[in-house]
Amino acid sequence: MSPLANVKELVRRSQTKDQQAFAELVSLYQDKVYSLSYHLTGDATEAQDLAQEVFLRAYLHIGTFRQEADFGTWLHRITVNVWLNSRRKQKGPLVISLDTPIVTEDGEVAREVAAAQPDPLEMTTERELQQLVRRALQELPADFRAVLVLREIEGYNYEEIARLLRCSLGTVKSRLNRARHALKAKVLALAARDGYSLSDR
Amino acid sequence: MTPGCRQVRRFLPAYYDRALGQAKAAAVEEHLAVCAVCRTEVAHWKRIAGALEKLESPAPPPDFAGRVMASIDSAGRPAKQRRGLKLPAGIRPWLAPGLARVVAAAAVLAVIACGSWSLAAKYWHGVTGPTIAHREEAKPPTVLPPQEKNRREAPPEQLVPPPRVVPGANNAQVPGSQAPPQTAPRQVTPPKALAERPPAGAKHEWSASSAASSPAASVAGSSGRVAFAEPRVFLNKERQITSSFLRVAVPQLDAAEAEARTIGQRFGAKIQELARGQAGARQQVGLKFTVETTRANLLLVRLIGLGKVLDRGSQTQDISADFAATLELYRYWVGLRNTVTDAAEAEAIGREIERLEKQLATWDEEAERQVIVLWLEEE
Repeated sequence: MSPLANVKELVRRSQTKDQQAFAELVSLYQDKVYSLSYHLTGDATEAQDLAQEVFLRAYLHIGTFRQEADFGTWLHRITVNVWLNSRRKQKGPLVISLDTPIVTEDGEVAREVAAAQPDPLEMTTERELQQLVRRALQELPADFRAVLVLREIEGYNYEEIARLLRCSLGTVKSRLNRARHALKAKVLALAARDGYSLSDR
Repeated sequence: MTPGCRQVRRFLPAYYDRALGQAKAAAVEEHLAVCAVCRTEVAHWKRIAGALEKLESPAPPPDFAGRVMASIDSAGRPAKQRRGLKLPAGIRPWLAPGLARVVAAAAVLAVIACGSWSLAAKYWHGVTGPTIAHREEAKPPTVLPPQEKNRREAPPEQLVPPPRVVPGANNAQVPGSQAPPQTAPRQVTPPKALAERPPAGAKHEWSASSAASSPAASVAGSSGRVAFAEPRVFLNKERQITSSFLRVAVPQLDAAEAEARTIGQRFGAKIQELARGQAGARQQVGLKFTVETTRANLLLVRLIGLGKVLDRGSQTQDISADFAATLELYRYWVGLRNTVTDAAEAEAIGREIERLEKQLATWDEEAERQVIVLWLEEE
């Protein structure tokens, strides 16, 4: 049986509450779910808990899974939504608007001035940059982190992200744009704080 | 900034995602070849994206599948075996902020003491649908996942509370506007009590400090300061920017315009002429009224009375999330500035702070007011 047909069969059996079949699905998809969980939570223990929660809910709601969809993507959708929801319970729900501009006109001037100074990341090695990025990612608001992880790490395209997050394409684009700016600002801020100088003087 | 930069910046997100057509991508690259500012920006992003892509995640522990199946198994057990913290029935965090905060704090402590996601999972058993966003909010308990080990978010000293859910869906789209229709309600529908409050002008103060807390001394707009004034205090609360659009046909344009302006003045609106001229055979004039939210609806009604309404619409943007995110960045930079000793660094950071502050202040102001755009057309 081809792998895809195999998955379909396992799902079908799981829908009849065949736990053995579902256990096999868990084995097949645990890396995929765990990876996204880890990138979202930034912590191994939380990632485990989140991933476990995801599979539990998947089992409980597998009846709603439509066979023509991709099972892995469906699991990812559960993952990101459960995580976002838990974050909302901590800090309150976040709604991202569609068209709000990121910067006022004057912001353009600040950008030019800042860029005219020596590159704060110029001296960082790849490994150091990775650390900075990892830390910066964890410090971003949840919605920003979610779109960045889905786009830059998991490689979903805009349409897929819109379906995963149940929002419009426009929202995805503008949120991603804002998220990228925010991440860049954080990375530069962390780099500055860690002593990579902003200026040579 | 050269015109080229502004345009190129608009294309950059698509450029990063390789979603630009060949011609546009080539144009972007041509500009990058000659512009150091944009080149730096792109280079930064490419390095960061590259680092992101390579971020690794460890493998799940070997007994992971076993644990999952165990939790599935126990989820089938009867309710009395589940543990969890319930808020007393009738207490909803959004209705009784003070009390709810106390109870919620207790809940957080209890959950930290007890555990983790698996506990939450047992509690949430029975929720329908894998996308939990809608239903969860309606449940009474606020069982929270444990506090994250490393304090990642900015400390909530003054500006504690979260912005709340926007009551009500958005109104009809402005004709021809870019905003695409939503495929699903973007947010949870809050409990009735909240939704029934008049949205316009109802400022819901969620600040932990008293609502009367006034902003600290405002930072002066001018740059080049050495001594830093206190950073402004921005309250984290619900913020919406509402704009309405109205097209009215009138028998006499001049008279109608004068009338509209008089009405606007009486409402204390700021009036701006947007355009004046000929549209086909008809004379037209466009006026923009910026008015306090509490008066906007009434003003709209009066303007409607000027003639025959040909077209109308409105749009509400909730900027609470953008505000919260920007506020976080702002606080971050402020905190950072206090730790640097190099004057040039401090100045650069100060500029960033000013920029963010301006944006926050603009949003703050705009959220208090509504915009009505009125187009008058002579019949």
